[in-house]
Amino acid sequence: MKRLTVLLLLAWHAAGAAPADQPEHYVMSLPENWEITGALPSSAMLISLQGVANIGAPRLYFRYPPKWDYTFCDPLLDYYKSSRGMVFTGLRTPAEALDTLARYAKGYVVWDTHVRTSLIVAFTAAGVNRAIVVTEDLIPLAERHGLRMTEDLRGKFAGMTDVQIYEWAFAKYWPACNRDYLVYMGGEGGSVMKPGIADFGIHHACFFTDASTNPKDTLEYAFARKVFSSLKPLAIVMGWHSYAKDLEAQHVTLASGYGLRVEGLHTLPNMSFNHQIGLSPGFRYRNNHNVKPGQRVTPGKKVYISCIQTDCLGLGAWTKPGRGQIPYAWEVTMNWSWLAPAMLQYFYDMATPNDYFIGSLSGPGYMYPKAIPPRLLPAVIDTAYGMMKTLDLNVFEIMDHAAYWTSDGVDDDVPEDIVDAYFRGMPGVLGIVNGYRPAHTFAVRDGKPFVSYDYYLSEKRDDAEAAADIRELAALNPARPYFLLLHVREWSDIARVKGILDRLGPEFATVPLDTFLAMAAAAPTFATKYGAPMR
Amino acid sequence: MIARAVALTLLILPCRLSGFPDGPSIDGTWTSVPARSTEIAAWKGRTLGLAISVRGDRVSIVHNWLDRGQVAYADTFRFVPGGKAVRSVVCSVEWPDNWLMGVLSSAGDERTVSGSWQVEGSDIRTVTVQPVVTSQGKTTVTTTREYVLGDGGNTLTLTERRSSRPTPVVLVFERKEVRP
Repeated sequence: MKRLTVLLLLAWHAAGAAPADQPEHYVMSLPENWEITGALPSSAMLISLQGVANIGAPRLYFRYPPKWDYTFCDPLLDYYKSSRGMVFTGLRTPAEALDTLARYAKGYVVWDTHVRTSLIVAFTAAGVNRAIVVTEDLIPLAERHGLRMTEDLRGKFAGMTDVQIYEWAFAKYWPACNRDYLVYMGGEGGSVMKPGIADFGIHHACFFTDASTNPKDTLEYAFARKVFSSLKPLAIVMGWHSYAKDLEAQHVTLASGYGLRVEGLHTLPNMSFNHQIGLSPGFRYRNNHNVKPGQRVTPGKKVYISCIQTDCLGLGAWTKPGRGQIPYAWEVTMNWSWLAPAMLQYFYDMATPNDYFIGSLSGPGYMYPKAIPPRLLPAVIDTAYGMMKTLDLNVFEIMDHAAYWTSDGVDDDVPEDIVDAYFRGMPGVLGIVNGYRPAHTFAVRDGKPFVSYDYYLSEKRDDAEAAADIRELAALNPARPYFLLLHVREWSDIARVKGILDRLGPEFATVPLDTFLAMAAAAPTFATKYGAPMR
Repeated sequence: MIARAVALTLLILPCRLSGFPDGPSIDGTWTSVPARSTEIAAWKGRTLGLAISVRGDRVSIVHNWLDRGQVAYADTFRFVPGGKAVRSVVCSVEWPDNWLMGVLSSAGDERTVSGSWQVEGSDIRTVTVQPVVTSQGKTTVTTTREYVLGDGGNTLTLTERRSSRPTPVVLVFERKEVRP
């Protein structure tokens, strides 16, 4: 009997599986090159393998290269090890990855390296067929691992436009695709693709596209509208628009017009893995509040500055030098609370007392309020408010670029009825902040301020000139207290921001955002102003 | 030989048009040299070019804010040096000088421009009084600009001092060559 058990265990290991009581987790590093003629074919295959291998359990995690948009892959991996006791086995080569995990795939889809869009279609096909994506050169490798072709896109799209390709894919795959998510496989164009989100899309059998949302691209625009209108209400548009085809503002405007929420980026990594890691037992999200509900905070005769880093928690400064040295507010990507709970817990667990989280961005995801149909806006706000309660957030942030490309850059404001709608739908908030670049909407409702950004701290701005800009703003706004809300682009680390603020002198004080808003509520020196309604 | 004559004529032309034949004239078109200038944060990342014309006693200075080489926004200052301040109505809310700050021009309000030669035909100083809108409401910015020729008339240095800003903005331009 003992001999039989040993034999069974040996057979189990020979098959590449871990014992049933020990979940199998594998980790592998991806290279920096994302060229079609470089490492993309291999990396795309591995990411598709991740998508299917992670069905049913989180098995494969990637360490993305140093220049990747998201900087938390390694810290999060360490967090999983230390907080969840996960043990990861390293995989070194694509062949080794297939040796270990090909059994979770049902076949392979061949994409055409001469037609970049065929890879985007291949991701859709892979999700529907539970397959991996390969180029012609990788077919022997897939075959050696027992996989058989489920779709061959070689030569199929030669001479076709993107919209013709997507119409073909829509007709073939849409009936089998998920209606809760759509994946925009955009970002870089030309010979490069960085499909970090593809594993999630394959995992959930999503439709992939990068159709233009620029109204001038009439055919692709019409296609994008058709897909958007076919999704469920409040569905998620994962990924990102194509930098080669349209503008972020056009993409989010169109999605918002259908009540859809954008959840960037195309490079968001390991989501098929992170999606399945829950919160620690008993964990509850706890923010670092500095002001008690209803507390009055009286400001002095100073210039009060509060810093907010936008553009998603995982981009930029969180892992860079200086965090915790000064009060800093961080946009929380609220959908991570259910899309990747442990990943969001990681940020809450790592937060210092100076890190303060706020809800964003205009809704339960990235949306533009002026573009959201008014009949949908209350539900959007209500959903976002529910997440804020879960995440212990009491400040919300709005951004609207629905007129970005038609207003020559004077577009960050929202009209009075939208300000009212948010305060009505979020009765417990301490205040609402607004804008991306500086905006000009300011108001107070029931003692709660609505404050727009007064300064956009570009990562490229010379430090001395940035300090001069802030001092000039203080001169142009002579009443004290003056409340200067400062938007920090994610590429600036906090040590740099602190260096700029340290140049300003004793009249300036950097304070936590909730303190800032409480003081603004007590002495609102800004002039009430609203944006124009959307035409 | 003909090409040399044309080139010489083009070099002399600005002096003759401006009516100040003794030295180089500020009259002409100027392109910025960012590497020698204060870093600016122009509206939508535009670059600045200048078009200056001196016709009789009248001076026109146009700040052309360029987007990929095309004029996206033109800010024009016309005046008679030593004369009365010229009033004009602000047409756009864009405050072209700095896109990072929460400052807009106060469209519909009046601004004034005056100027005086510091060196006849060559160096000029202007003073602009302009209403702007900030988060606390309307206020006024007085901007003194000094346009000074250098390098034998081939470079122009614009030193801009705003009443609100603690430090000057110094921008260097090169004369745009006129191709025959």
